Amino acid sequence: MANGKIKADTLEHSTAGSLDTKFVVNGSSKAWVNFNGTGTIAARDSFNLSSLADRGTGQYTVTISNAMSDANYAAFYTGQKSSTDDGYVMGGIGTGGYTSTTVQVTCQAGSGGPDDLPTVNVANQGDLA
Amino acid sequence: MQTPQFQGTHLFDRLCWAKENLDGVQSDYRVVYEDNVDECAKILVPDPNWMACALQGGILPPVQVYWELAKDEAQPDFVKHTRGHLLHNTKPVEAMTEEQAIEYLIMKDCPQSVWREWDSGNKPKMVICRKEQLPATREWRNAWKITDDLATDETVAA
Repeated sequence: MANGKIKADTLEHSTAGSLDTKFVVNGSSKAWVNFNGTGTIAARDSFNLSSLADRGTGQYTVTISNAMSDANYAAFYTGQKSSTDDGYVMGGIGTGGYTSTTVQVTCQAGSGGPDDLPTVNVANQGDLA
Repeated sequence: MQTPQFQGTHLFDRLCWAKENLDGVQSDYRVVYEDNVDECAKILVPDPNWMACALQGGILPPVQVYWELAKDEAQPDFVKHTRGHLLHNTKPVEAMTEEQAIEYLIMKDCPQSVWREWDSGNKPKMVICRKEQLPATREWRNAWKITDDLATDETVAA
């Protein structure tokens, strides 16, 4: 079926059980990005993003196209400094940390202040507006 | 590639279509802006998949829709968006040039206090430039400010 619609409340596997489709709808990421936070900031790939803002060393704003229904969604962050070090990525820091369309991201490696990370990942889960 | 008739289609579904059918477009434009005199200059970077939607046309809602949602969210009694349907039911904007897309993005993602009065102070609060005009290294990133003397062939932030 091309470009059709299947309305179903349950998906069932032949052996692994069944799943209410509400879990699929509510459990999927509504926006995500993998970006390079060093040099000239740029998204490697993304979905439902309109822009990144470079706010300073290790500090970025992620802005999405289809707004979330409010600012109470769950945002997940990971980062990597190098192939041997992990980075720390925190979100929603400071005034205006979370809105329905933006999240402020702060990254650091180790115990120092904010630091640029070559790989930063952000994903939002929650309800769309 | 012809964009389907998307008015009335959820914006998220439009973005899914775009992700499957359009290639991302990495823009060389950057928007440098200062929204706080006590902070360094900020740099807006267009998302490549968003830029592809803007250039394609028929996908993105008018920028005014975002202003309306921002007004709602700024209300003290805001709980949840009730006018999200504006994103999905308003007629999508037509195909834009890259420059028009950057202007749209400024009005969507930069603070209104910056772009409405970008040139009213002692120096511009905002500059649109090419990424090559930004400093080559981030060593002193937190000290970047828009330069006082702007020329099209020079570095715009230092």
